[in-house]
Formats: sequence, structure tokens, C-alpha cells
Amino acid sequence: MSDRTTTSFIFSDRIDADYIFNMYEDDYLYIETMFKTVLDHFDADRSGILVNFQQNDLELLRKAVHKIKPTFGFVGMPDVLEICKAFENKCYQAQSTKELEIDYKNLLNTLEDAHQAIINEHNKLVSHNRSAA
Amino acid sequence: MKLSCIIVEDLQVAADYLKGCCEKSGRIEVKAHCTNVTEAINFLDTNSVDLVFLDVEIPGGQGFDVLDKIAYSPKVILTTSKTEYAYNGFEYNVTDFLKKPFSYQRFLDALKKIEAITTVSSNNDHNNDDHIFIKSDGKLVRLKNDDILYIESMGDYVKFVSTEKKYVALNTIKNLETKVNTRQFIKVHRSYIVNISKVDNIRENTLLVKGAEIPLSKASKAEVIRRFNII
Repeated sequence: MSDRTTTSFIFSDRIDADYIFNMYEDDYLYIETMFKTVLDHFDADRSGILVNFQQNDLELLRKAVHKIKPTFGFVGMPDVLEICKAFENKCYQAQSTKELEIDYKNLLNTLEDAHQAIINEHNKLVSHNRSAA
Repeated sequence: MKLSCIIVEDLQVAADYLKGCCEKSGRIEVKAHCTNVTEAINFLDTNSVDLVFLDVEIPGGQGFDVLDKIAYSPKVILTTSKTEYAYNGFEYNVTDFLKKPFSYQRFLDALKKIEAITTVSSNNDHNNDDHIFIKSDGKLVRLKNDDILYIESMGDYVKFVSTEKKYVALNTIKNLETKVNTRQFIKVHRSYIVNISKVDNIRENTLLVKGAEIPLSKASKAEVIRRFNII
């Protein structure tokens, strides 16, 4: 983890700041790095969900959601993590992906919204850390 | 001295975070990051580590498959987002369970548990008795360590091969590894523990114990060589 910056940063409402501080304290350079890592792998992790839903493979769909789920904890979005968890549990009960169509659409919207929020927060962190340097 | 570890994790951000925790603690050296079962088994076949941070749902199977297939038993901390795996964790004798994402403080708590176990085991050097009792054919049988040649896995059972007789008992090599006198016995393969004093010769990948050929795994070889009095 990097040397700490001492200036404060105000997270947007979309991010649970307590959650973030609990993990990284006020190490904003490190937080920026972690947000960047999430963004670098986001599309690949999300594509696992898209492909397996289209192929009607419930078990692989569940695994793809299971994989991406903790990502949102690392960027202070425990609410999205919970939505993923709920979808993962529905995968256990469903017989085919068709039963999950509405939940799936909601999940994709949630992921897209979260993705944009992570991009925005990352941009803010970059600016903050540059000005603090 | 730092503990060595590997991280078995397919989610990059989780692996990076864990690596950061290890570095920050200054107490663990990360030897490798493996993203699937095969990679982890291949690494652990040829390298030994003190600790494995193990995700459960990973490509190529389950994290527990790694523990089933490696020749020795490092300490294990499960790292998963699913608490349902805690029960399996107990069966595999894992030391702790970190639910992702976890705080650095929680990581340190897990590390303390590992360090406590490591200290206790190195202080005691395990069981120093000169005999063991095994339950075989409905009775408890006393076996002197000096009489045991080797112990072989037979699925859920193990076979104790002594100079006189063979005994079959409900047990596992993994469990016995920590119960036998570790000065006298050594695990040389995931299916074998041998009595060091009974080994007649060592070949490339085999030990000869009173006429029986015992396979020697790559991962165990360095430790076996170290334990024998080779001049």
C-alpha cells in the first residue's frame, strides 16, 4: 500500500465512505489504484454474465455473478454487492435463465450504473491525488 | 522470519488487496498469485509455502480441490464471499475464514491465528511419544513408532505397515501428518508418511522402505533430503 496522503477527500453519495475507510483508511493513492484495477477488469467480468445468460447456462451465470459480487465491496458499494448476492441466490432456484429475465435486466442496469459511478469516483480520486502531490 | 504464502484468487482486485495487506503487515511474503485450480496445484507441487489464501469458487473446480491434491498441508485461510463454505472449511482444518471484502484489521486477526499456531507447533515439534494407538478391527492397538515402516492412504482409511503386520484404520494422511511424531515420520507424498529410520535408499522419485517402493513427490523432496543425514 502507498504512503498516505493527508488531505481529505469527499466521496460522492453513491460510495459508502465508511466502508472504504474501513478497508483502506485514508490512503487515497491506494484507493485510486484499487478503483483502477476494478475498472480494468470490469468489462471482462461483466461479459461472463452476458455470455452465460445468453447461453442459458445457469450454473456459469451464477458463478459469473458470484465472481463479480465482491468487486463492489472493494469500491464501497455494498448495496450492489447485495443485489448481486440476491441474483446469485435466485440462480440456485431457477430452472432456466428465462425465469430470471426481469432480474437480469435489473442487474445489468445496476451494474451499468455502478460502473459509471466507479469511473466518476476514479476520475475524482485522480484529480485529488494529483493536486495533493 | 516472514511466512511465505500464495494467493489463489480469480478476482484481480481481491488478489491485489490481499497482496497489499500482506505487504503492509511486513510479516508475509507472497510467492505467487494463482487464478485457477491447475495453476495452484502446479505451483504447490514444486514449491512449499507456509500459508495459502484460498478462494473457493475458482476456475477449474473448487479451492478445496487444491488441498486434496497437494502433497503437504500448509496453513489455509479461506477467502470467499460466501459464508456457506465455512462448514467445508472446518472439514479441511482451515485456520480462518475471511469474507470478501474484509478490513485490514480483520486480515491482521487472521494472521495472528496463523502465527499462534506456527509458534505452538514449532515449540512443541508435535507429538514426541514413542508409540501411537490406532483403532483397528474394533479394538485399540498400540503400535510402537519403531515398528511402523510407513503409512499409506486408502481413501477414507489408512494402512499402517509394520515390520510384522498391516493394520487398516479409519483416518486420513492429512490428519495423521500432525498426530505422528514428526521427528520420526515425514510425509513424502499425499498418500504416504514414512518412518525416516526405515528408509533404505532414495532414488529420483522413490524411497525404498524394507522392499516397498514409496513415491516421493516433487514438493516433498527438498524437505525429505533435508531430513536425511546425507553427507
